[in-house]
Amino acid sequence: MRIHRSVPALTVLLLVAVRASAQSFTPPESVVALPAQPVALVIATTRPVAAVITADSRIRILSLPDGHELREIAIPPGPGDVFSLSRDGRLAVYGDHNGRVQVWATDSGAATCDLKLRHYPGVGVFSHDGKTLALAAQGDALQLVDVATCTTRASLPQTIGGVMAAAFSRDDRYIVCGGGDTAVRVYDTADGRLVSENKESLMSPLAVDFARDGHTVVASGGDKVMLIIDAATGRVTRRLTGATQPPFAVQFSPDGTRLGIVFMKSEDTTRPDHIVVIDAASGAREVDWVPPVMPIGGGWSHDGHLVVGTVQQHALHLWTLK
Amino acid sequence: MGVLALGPGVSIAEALDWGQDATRKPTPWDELGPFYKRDAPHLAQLRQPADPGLQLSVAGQVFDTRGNAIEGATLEIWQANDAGLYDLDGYRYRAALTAGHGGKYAFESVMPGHYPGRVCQHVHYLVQAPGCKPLTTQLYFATDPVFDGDPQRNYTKDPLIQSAELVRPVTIVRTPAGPAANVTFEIVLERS
Repeated sequence: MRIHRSVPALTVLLLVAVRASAQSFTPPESVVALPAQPVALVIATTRPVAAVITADSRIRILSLPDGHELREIAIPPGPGDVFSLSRDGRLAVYGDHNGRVQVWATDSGAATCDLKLRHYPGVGVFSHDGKTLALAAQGDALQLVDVATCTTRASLPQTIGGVMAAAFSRDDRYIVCGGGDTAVRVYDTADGRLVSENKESLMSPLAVDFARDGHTVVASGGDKVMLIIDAATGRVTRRLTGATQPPFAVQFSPDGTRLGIVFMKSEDTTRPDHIVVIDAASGAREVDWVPPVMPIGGGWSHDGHLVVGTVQQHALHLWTLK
Repeated sequence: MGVLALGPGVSIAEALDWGQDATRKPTPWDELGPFYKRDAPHLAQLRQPADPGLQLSVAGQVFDTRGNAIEGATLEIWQANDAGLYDLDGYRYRAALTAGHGGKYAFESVMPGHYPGRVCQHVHYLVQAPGCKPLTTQLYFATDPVFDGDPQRNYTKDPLIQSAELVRPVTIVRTPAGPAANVTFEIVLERS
């Protein structure tokens, strides 16, 4: 399952080239026993809350760091494609392989939105205020769904291959999309107007995020190059090379001072690759770690640490990269 | 001026399209995947002499739903090599083709290996032509062991295969260079 997250942003970007070189590092680990095997994990960024999908077709809302189960939500059986939490963890979205997308209030377990897409979803990410869900069926145009009314208030233009990744600016005025057609596009969320477009990538950007300043975008994918792009003009202000694998997730820390980068082992996506945390201002690498097994998800926690989840039988292992 | 009412959601162009054609069903969609790379070289010979793997010859025609052959349609194709690896750094097993007279296209490759994380052997397509909607799809092979000899029943073993129509029969032939797989894959584009 691919996991998409809404992400905060940051200040100045002076990133250095990221090289996925091995370093000796073992992060602190905690273990949460669950009634069934966990298959996906997402983490709220402003409250100590996580959500796990387990193999018995449940979303389990957990408190952190103790892993106490707060709520259980039944989901349709079968494979899923999109799973995300709002920043405060009060909303969860899950999209299954039949194209059904549901939003729940995690405090009550009540379903607040139920949508059917043309086919299975490729992107589902909440705005920072939790009022908008950016949603797209795989290969289709991105819709901006008003969560309160469960209606589409804007549809972004269809582009070839659809949207591979999306992230809102911190003020939710803009959304950046990595297109299957290899372009990085920034849209105004009020009316879906195209603000800027960058076509310098040769391969599809698989990961995008807005920096905290709201003016800068980071995008990366199969090119193994991280592009730092001016959101207003689409112009590349910095090109960071040297990675040996494609980043497939980038996410700024809640305070915007660090950037988490998850690399894809392109020759075998079932095996883990490096997860790197860098200081966004200096580019200094703070953490470089390869999980023992393929992670099922993670994200920045409310206390500013990148948390990564792996699975051993019915146990969720939470690794805090600090 | 009179008004021709066709009913809600039905345009005159669509109505005319229905009346004249319905001769060909659009090729089913399949997702683009993460490894599309633009600006692929224009070549039809993807396989190099020393490349390992079963020789693969793919040929077909590009049509629109009215049955018109689309000469000049562009096809971008990309696939894993025999070992199941995609070339991210260069353009091995990546190509752009232009459909010729009668909408015909062809390329020479190797049977793609099983890419870890995907269930089935496959070749990616992105097909575009003026007046038609762009199509992303994937070609699958009936000889793939995953299907246990029955792709009609077993194609759902790969959750990304949206239609059994994308699993094409394979003819194995003898050539001086050894056995080779021949596959025909017709592309039908929806009109825009």
